[in-house]
Amino acid sequence: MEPILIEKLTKRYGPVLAVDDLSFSVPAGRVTGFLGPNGAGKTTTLRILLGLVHPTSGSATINGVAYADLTYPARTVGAVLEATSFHPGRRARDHLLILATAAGIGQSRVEQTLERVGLASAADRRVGGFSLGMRQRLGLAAALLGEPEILVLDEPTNGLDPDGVRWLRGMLRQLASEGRTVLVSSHLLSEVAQTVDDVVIIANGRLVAHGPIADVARQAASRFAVLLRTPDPAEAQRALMAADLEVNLENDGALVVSGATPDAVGRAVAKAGLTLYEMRSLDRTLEDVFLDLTTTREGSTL
Amino acid sequence: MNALLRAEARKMLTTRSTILVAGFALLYPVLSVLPAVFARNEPAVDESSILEVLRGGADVLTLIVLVLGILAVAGEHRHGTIVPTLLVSPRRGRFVAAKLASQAALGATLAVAASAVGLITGTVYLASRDVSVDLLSGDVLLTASAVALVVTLYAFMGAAVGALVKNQTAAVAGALIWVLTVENAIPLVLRNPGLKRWMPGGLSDRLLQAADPFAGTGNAWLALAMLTGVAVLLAGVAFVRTETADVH
Repeated sequence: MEPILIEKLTKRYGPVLAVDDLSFSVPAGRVTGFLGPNGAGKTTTLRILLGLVHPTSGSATINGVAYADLTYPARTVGAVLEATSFHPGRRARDHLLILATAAGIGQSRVEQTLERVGLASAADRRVGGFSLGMRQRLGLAAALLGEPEILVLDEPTNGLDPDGVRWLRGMLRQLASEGRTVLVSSHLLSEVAQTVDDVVIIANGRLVAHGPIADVARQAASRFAVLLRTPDPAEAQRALMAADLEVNLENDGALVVSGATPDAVGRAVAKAGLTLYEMRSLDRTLEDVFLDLTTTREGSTL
Repeated sequence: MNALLRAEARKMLTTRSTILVAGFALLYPVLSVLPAVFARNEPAVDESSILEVLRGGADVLTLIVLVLGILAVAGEHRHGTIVPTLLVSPRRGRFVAAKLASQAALGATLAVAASAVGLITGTVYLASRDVSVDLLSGDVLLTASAVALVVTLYAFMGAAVGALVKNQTAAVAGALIWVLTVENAIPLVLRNPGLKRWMPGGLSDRLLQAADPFAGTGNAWLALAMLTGVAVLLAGVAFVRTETADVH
């Protein structure tokens, strides 16, 4: 049984379709990046998974049951949804003690998790005086209280400085090495590329791609793009399109040909008898592939 | 459920605003007697004056626990703590039940403590005016019990209102406007002064007047039943609303 299973999930807010017939699963013991641009439906999906939002149709289950039906939710799933879920006048230790009390978790775990996230020295400070990074750490401490086998993190690097991002990446790698299943959302593939094993990419509430991150990297390496400059970009664009090449005219007058090798572009240019000022290959990054996937394609396994 | 109640108690004890407001509630009976102590023309007093001390404290205490109840639930939405709370306790019915029970318990505790402070303060003041008070008399016990019941029900209703109206400012403002203005305005607008007796504030007054020989205990029992009905109705709607609403 998959630890996390999303099946035909749809959520509609009035006329807005936030999640549209979304299905995917997260395998045990792997770190999965849940990716998509802002407004793609990531947070809504995670909130449905965690029982905070009711789906219009479909289901989201953890170990085969809805979150609300888990016998020991805090010992099964740890979640960090936003860095603002704290009473500003309450001390960090008290925040965790309240959650531990409600979850039936011993108070010794509070001290252990504070130590683990590096907040032991700030445990008696009020959360209102915490930096965003400290709040993220406290949120992670709350998620780890019950030593859950599954972790769900929604955009955990939002607002963090580079040190905070580095710390979080290290923490995720450590959690993954302990065999936990981790689902971490982000709107930037580059932020999680070093950490995740698999990716689930969505756009406009729909699944765009799902599979190992290695396959995305392979796609990035295999996707060519060529930049060229000519005295007559419009004429060159017509000639390249006539050769069935995908061409974009940039603001500075350059032409970018996607999905074609320099050889193919060179032959098409020569055939049209065009004058060239510049022609060179462009490196396609993971982020370029991610942008391609979220702006042009819908629904497949990588 | 016990774990949730313990967690709620810990929430109350770890926020300064709750402790400060509760402290004021306990100090109020002392403050309420001070004007009489320092008055140039000492007011006429007798044995029944102790009942006025109790009732006066109840008027303020009902407002305090009503607001505390709203803050306890709507405040979870305001500060976003509703998210970790529901992640630990995803069965929302239990969450609402724990809120209602813990706020009712806070109301009852404050009512008993404030009544005790009021009785001690009032007795000392009346003794200084050569009036002796029997703290175990039927009237005192009846009025103190009525205070505890009214304050407990208002704390319960505060939690229910907080669950119904998630916007904390709107919930507090709406509740205070209702109690301080609307309940008085409706009978005037409808030109039916008797209507006030059937509203929550009027029902509370009737309950607090249980020891009044002109009012009668039968009248008080009816008021208690109706006020409890209002509280249960509010709680029922709060349960439904909490179960069905999305949490963002």
